[in-house]
Amino acid sequence: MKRLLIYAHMLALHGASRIVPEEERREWLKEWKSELWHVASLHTGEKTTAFVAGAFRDAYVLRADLRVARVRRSHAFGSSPLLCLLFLLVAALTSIGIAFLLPGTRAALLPSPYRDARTLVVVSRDGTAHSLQPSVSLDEFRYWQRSAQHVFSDLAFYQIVRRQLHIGHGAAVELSIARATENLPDLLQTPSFTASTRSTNDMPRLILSESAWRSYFHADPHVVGRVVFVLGEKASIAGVVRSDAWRLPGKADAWLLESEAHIGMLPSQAMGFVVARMQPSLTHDPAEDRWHMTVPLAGGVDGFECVSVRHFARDPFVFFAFAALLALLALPATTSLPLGEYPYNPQQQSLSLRLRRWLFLTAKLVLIVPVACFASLDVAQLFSDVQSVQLMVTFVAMLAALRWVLRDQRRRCPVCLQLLRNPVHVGQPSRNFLAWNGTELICVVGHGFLHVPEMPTSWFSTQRWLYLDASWRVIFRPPEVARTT
Amino acid sequence: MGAEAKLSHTAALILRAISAGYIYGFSVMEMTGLPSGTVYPAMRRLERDGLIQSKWEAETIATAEQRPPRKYYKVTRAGKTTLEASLKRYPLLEKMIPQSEEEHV
Repeated sequence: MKRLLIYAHMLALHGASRIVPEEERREWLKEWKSELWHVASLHTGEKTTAFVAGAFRDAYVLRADLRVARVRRSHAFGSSPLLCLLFLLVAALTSIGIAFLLPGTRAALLPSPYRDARTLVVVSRDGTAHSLQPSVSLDEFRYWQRSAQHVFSDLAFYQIVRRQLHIGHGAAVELSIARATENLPDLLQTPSFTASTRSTNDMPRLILSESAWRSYFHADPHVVGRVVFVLGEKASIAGVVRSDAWRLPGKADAWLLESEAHIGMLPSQAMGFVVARMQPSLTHDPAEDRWHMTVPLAGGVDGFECVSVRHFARDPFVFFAFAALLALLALPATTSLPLGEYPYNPQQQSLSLRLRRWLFLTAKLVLIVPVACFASLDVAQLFSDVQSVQLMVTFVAMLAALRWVLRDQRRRCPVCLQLLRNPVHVGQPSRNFLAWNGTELICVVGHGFLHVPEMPTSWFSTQRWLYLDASWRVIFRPPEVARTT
Repeated sequence: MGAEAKLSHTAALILRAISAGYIYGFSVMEMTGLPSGTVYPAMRRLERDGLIQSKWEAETIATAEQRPPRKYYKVTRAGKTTLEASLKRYPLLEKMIPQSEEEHV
């Protein structure tokens, strides 16, 4: 009978152990089984049964304690100010790293591959400098070639067309081809284009982008000299250029360099881009990177902008600054700007503590800028209209980030900068004019309370901090324990 | 730990019992008269707060005596400080459980 009872008790202990989380179960069961052996050897069945009944309560309490400890640990982990800054730093470095990996964004980050990028300009009609649409006709290009030698030392014309490229054996692929005058590589003066474009014969020369070479020619190392069929005629492949070597308007997979005679066969009103090298006599001021040009026409004058390629490289950052400014202006519509009222308290708010609080806010603001900037650039590369997507993503990201920075700062203790915990609702809305009604949060170390009004009133418009003096310390855990649990 | 004034009477009683030499759960139960469902959770929390620490008895000793090994508890330095403060708060504890030099195994 006694043996049967022991089996029943052991079974009950095993049942109770199922309540205990798995990581603690073995140790828990071992202790209870050991204790049961000693209890059973000294006492009768009734006392042993009472002892085993306590195991269920112990199992429930242990389970609840572990759950609370887990929640506290995760909260403590997330509320540290240093961890917050570390997280932002990692996010910033990650977005910068991704930007360097993506060819589109890497081009914006690396220095220009063109020699003297300031004097290399893209000529476009007034108001269209940042548009991706061509705005100059072939006729205008020819006119400048003849009559604007005092402004430009050299000029090239190109237009982006989407055409089929017959790569042999009956295979054809559709590519964006920049159909350009043959002086384009000499004008750009970049090692990538110059080295790879040595003429082998009188055929138009085709330069492939690295991505097109890899995708459609399987990275064939003997591709140079191969003859392909494009735009109704034969062309000889003259080389392959790195993806980030092209920084001019228009996305191209290949460049077809044609003689003046070939380009001259285009209609005179064919629209394209004009890239030119400014005469040194006009570019004395090193800060200047935009010039305006007025061209006489039969019925009046026409205005053109000559924008330096160096200026184009700054475009993504100019767009970011513009969108960030818009986000800053929109911020008051989404959250209140004041950080709250913090009464002066020389014991708890020394100059260094106040400085630390503002430094923390500044560090967060400084770190969210590269996060939003490079993340928006990275995301924009996924879409064809890079500029519009970058503007939208930057606006949304900066608005959300600025809002988070302010809200996070308001929810932190001004002394230890830990996130405040244990929000409780105090007061009743119906008594709003008689007593305050809102949420109270507490600093776990015991530095004070934060009172956030539910409904801003003339006498309680923003959140208020209430410092607790040293007499309150006895009810709080010491800082080193409170911060880690 | 330094949370001297926070111990409840029951927790202080258990801490005092362990300090007095009742170093495993069942002996604490016997000494304090508290049920197992109170003593074991309280000891676990005292250990979590660093006031006591546990250690399993060596298998060889238990095997030689033909019984399972026991889990023994002892009061830490922080536990002693806390107990001193608790004894000021609950002076009767000293009379209920007199301090003993020997461990009640």
